[in-house]
Amino acid sequence: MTPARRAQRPALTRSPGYRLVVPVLLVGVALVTVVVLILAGGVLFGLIP
Amino acid sequence: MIRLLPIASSVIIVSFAVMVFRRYLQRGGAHLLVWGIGLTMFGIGSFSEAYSTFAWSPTVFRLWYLTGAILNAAWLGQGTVFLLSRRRGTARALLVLLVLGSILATWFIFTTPLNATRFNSDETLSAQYREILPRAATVRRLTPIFNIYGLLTLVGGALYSAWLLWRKEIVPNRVLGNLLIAVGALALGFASVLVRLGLGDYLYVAELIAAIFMFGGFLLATSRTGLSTAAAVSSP
Repeated sequence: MTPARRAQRPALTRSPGYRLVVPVLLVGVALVTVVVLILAGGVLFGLIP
Repeated sequence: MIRLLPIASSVIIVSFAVMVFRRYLQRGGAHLLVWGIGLTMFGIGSFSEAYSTFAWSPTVFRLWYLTGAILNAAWLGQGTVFLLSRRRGTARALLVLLVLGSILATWFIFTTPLNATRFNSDETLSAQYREILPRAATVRRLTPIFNIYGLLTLVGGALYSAWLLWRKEIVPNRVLGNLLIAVGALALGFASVLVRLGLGDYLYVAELIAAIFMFGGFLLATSRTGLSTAAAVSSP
């Protein structure tokens, strides 16, 4: 990545809030998705009526 | 309120579908076409819910179950498969399986006898469908297969895209847009599980939340605002 290319990046991607909040949200949504998939699997295999 | 929620969802989803089909006509791309089909199914499901708050129709009930409960998430997820898949053959093979599965589900739902005497227009369809559609109906066993595929591909695809773009530190509007799409799709998947657990009253609210988040996410991801740069990455 050249300095010129890096300079084109929007300011938001360099803000600490953006850097911190996005991965937290990604992990949170992924974890809830896994829980929902487990429940849906339970329905599929008849463990949940 | 029970009447307003699915009407509001229908209006949002129809606007969303029109926008996606228009984008497909301008740019092409199988993912846009398949997303448009999935959104149309979502819209038919919401419209069927709205209709069923006024009157009973076995065809409308069957359309609701087919498009709203079985197919829409899987078709939306298939659009994401086309967007992200580097192997066109894999995406096409999965589409063939989805089309065959959809035909099978259509045949099952339209040949299953319904118990119309249990219908009550003051209740949500999701709260009473268990009484209308026989427990042993084969089509009910198919539902989780489609929904698991839809949840994995739609939420997983949106999260993967967001993570990839976040790591590259580019186009934050697409990162946030994909996160909104993931949350909206997850709301739908979560509500579907609640329906199976007997908590069907939450489905209409979850559908409205899903419609707002997914449409908002699409608008944000495809916008060319000051948040974005000219960096070239594939857009929805």
